[in-house]
Amino acid sequence: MNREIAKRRYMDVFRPDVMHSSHGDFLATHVPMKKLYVTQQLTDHAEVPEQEKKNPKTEEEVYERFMGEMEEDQFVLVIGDSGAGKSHLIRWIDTVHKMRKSEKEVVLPIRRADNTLKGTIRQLIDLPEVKSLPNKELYKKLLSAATSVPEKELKETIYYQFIIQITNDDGKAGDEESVRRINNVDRKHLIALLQNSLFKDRLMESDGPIDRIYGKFAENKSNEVNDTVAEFKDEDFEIDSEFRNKLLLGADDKARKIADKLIDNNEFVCAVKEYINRFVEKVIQRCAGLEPGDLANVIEEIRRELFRQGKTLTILMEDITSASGVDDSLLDALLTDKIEYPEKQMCRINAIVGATDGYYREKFKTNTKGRIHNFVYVPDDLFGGNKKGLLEFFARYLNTISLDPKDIQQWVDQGKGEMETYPVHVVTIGDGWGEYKLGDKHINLFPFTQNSIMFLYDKQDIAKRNPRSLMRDIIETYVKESIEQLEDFPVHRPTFYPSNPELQNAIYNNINYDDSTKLRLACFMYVWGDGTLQTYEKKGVRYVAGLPENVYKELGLPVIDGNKVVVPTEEPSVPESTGSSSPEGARVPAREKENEQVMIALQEVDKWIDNKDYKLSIGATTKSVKALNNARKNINTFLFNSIDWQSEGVSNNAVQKVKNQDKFLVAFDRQTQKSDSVITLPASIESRGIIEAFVRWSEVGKESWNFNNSTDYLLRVQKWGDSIKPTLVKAILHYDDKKSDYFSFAVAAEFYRLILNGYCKNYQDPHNLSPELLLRKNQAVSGENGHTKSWNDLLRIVNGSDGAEARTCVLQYYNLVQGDVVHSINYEFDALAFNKAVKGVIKTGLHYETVDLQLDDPVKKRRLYSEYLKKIIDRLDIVVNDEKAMLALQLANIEKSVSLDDLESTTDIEDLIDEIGKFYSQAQKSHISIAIHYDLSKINYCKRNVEQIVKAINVAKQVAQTRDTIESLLLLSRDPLVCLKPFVELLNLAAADLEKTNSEVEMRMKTYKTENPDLGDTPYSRQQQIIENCAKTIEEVREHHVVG
Amino acid sequence: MLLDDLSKSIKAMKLLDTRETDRLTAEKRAKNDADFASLVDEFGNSVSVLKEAITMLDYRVSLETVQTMEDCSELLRGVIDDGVAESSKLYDIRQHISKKMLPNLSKEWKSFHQGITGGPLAKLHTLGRLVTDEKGVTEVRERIAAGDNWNNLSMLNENGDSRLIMLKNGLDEIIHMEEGLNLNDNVRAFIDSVTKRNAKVSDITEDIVNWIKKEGLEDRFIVAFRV
Repeated sequence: MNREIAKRRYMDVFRPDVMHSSHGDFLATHVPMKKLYVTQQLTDHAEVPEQEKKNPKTEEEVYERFMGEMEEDQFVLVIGDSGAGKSHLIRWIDTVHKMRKSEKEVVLPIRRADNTLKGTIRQLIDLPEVKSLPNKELYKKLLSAATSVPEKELKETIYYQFIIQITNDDGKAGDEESVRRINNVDRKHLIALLQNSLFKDRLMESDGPIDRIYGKFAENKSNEVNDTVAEFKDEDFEIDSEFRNKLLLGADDKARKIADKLIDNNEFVCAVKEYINRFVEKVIQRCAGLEPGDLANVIEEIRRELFRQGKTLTILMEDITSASGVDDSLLDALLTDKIEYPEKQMCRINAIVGATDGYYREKFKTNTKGRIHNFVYVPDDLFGGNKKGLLEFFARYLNTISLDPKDIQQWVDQGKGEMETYPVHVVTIGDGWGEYKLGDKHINLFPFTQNSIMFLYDKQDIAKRNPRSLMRDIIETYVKESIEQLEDFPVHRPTFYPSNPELQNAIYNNINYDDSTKLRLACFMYVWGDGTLQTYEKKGVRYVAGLPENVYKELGLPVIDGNKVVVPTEEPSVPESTGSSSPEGARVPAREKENEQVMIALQEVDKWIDNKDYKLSIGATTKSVKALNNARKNINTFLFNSIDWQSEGVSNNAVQKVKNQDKFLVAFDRQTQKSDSVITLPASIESRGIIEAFVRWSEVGKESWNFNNSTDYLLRVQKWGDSIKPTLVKAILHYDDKKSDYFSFAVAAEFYRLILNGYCKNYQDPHNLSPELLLRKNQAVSGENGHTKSWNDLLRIVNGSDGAEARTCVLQYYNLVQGDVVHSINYEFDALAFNKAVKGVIKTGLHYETVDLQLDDPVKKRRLYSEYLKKIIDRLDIVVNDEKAMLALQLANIEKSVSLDDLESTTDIEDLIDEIGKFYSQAQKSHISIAIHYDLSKINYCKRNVEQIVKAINVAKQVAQTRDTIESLLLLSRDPLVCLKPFVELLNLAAADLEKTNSEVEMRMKTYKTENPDLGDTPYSRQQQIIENCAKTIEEVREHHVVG
Repeated sequence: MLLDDLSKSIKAMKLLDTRETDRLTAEKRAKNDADFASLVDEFGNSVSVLKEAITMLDYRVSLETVQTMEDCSELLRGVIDDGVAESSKLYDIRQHISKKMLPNLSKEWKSFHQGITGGPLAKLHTLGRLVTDEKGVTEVRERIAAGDNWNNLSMLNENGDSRLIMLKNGLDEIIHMEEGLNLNDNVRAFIDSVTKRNAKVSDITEDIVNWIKKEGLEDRFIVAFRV
């Protein structure tokens, strides 16, 4: 490269619009096109039939075919993707044709210019053939159409032209023979919507439909080739609820209605779009003041004039879209065959017109397509299978930017643009970077090497391997870097798969280089060099990775020591095509196919390392790199699983607590997500190695270490894991420099659970509790009890899931897993450690204040125990006080009937209960109404529990004297109320029934005091007399009046 | 406190019990005595009717019926001997009277009634056609029919006559009715034959024809074929 010239020149040369580059630059950069397809018809998808693809043509062959002497009219459509080289080909034809054409041939090149209709018309009115048109009115019309109008004014005109056209339409968009495309109601609503200022602002936005139409009609504001089609798109009418809400504030009902209809209604959106697009052509014509047939008239006028002069016409139109608005009628004019209109006396026309295949497919009318019988297809991948052509393309551009325009012009003028006289620039930078041999000339390839060209071409998206993209994306990018940022070259670093990790290890493990240097060097040696650690000396110059030492020095890169090898033989000349779709010849190691996810992830990581402001996107959003997100998770899992926590003195339970709350042990520096991780991976090469290992583990090994060179990655990961292990171990057990004590809180809570469930009845002092208590079954007691509501509420809490969780923690914390940490189900219990820890808790007397708890523990699963214990101790005073109050009430009730001094022994109580039993029994016999209260089971219950009642009375007396909450709780856990309450109920009932009984007995006794029963002494004398008389009669009957 | 109160209350209830038990015993005894008296009256009534029937109609009963009456008498005497009318004994006596004694008396009386009333009623049938007092004939027939049920024999009519007396009067009335027709022996024999439906043409003697003409009974007799 000639740096000084290139610095001035490269932007001019790389301008994508080739029609604006100089003729000399065009010739100097032109690489003969060898892969063109010629066909008479395209497939339905506007593709070249496979048969024709078998016979690619060179540009010369195309020229011979279509530009020779001919009598008949001809129309050739040069078709291909945007940037494929259609314009370049037409321009080359123009250049060659001007040199080879006959005198009577008139060539009218209609260049793409700024790719607008006005630009095209301006070209036309500058042509002498048009200036001398006999139809002056037509010429004036063209002049008027080419007049510049202020952008804002013209855009407004375009916008309102649409409203005018739609207002005057009947829904058929001018096509009277078709059915209505939208009904009249929708059409009127659409007009209202277009008149709404909010919607208008939206359509008038930059890159909006009006801007697109303006861009194709009047002015291309960018330096880019404008390949966009002047039309409305679906998204212009896709309305979301947010926009609709804005509309609600001011729009009239009609606009609101159609806005509502457009929400989530793709079919209607499409119908509206297609309807309004039917007016685009008409709107442009109205704005330009042209009639549809004006350009056709111009062509026809020219042809008639040339016919009169005995000349023929060749029109070379680079892009039909540059006539947007009148393209249809223009095509019609170019396809008009003079034989069909002999009366018009038109000259022969040979029209070579360029169009993208998309435009041909979408915008050409069917009948127009049917009239085209000559196609030249310029494929996207013009250099596919043509390494030499690709290198020559690079070499010519690199050479041209380093040549003074005068030298090029001299070559064109004096050397006739012949290869023999092709000028080659003087190298001021980049000597040794490699050369391309063009004929007998050597062109320096700085800032590329052959390897890098092939690599970068291969990396380029297939759809962007056309000349324009290669020039803009690759050549211009690196040329610019080499001129402006040579010290950071290459700034744009493609990802690569280091199939030979030896080199990468040598670079990354070198402690003398900073990370940025490592990344640059690795990329440079793999992409620009041959990707090996081989070194040799040739003609006194040391070569590393196939690149001379001075190349490294030019870039400020260190030169590493490599493995010495013999000097390789002279590089063979660049081979021609091998038939592959990709140019062959790049060395294998650097080009081995990389896994796409690995590539994307590493690209992101490299940006992160290289750019101190770059945030690593690792979330679950679409913008984030999925592989990095996975890598972070996998690093986490790996660390949890690979560290022998028990050996490090960390309970498995403690590890699980941290692991199960999805805590990340490792986060990335400058990651997009907030993290409370233990370790932050710095943006460094070392981190890159770790991340890469896990990305490969996941993406290449499919969650295994079964992939190439996995042992290196595994070793790296293990070493790293060992290095951070102490930090992780500390982090599992600590937070904020405090040792996490959740086990103690779980133990205390579990003791409370046992007390509340009545498992500690035999204890009076919490200091006397024993660790063994915790190891018994101690299931939740769910039966009836005599406790208060607040006691039972707390009991429910401790017997709930929190209690179960705490109990599990108590029982499992000191489990020592036997065998494999992850999968073993065999445990050994570390009783010594357990006892020691529990005794520590017992020593506190279970007295915990809120400040003693770890409510600020960031690990939720650990913090839960503190929160749970707090929940218990917050309720203890209420529970104890409620129970005490209830006991006091019971004692007071007893004393209403019996003095407590009279109930000191079981006999005292037994006697009392027996007497109550007798009382009710007698009441039943005596038919006293209160006998319905006779409940033998209750009396028997009290009798059975006489001892407990005595104890309960004593406990109640004792509790009344106890001030300490925990001690009171222990006493109350004996549940004195459970026996006392029925006893007191019995006493109360008996006392109440006693009164009623006495009253009833008294009432009934009164009756007997007044009664004087008269029972008589001889009640049967009369009957005896009757019987005796009867007996006599019967006897007489027996004697005298018996039958027979 | 409570203990003492309970004891007192229990004592009071026991005293109440005693009083109430006593009263209950007296009431029950009175009721049984009344029942006993009722049974004795019923038995006495049956014996009294029997005695009357024997007297008026020379009624006779079977030995078995006599036995049932004697058994009943013994049962009733047993109560008097006990000095108390126990419910169970009263029940037994009531069963004996209603299931044995009265059914026997009823059955035998029914048979007896048919026996003593069959002839007189047939005669009444024949004589009834010869006398003009048809109402009187009907009354006689009703009186006889009223005495067919033993259990109703002691029932009195509006004149204070028992049904047994009414039966006896009815039978006497038929005899009296025949005597009032002043019939000779031949005529009486002829009427007997007609009543028994075995009178022959040869029995129609001149004497008989004269009696018929004399009494104007030509339309009251017919000649029929022997069936």
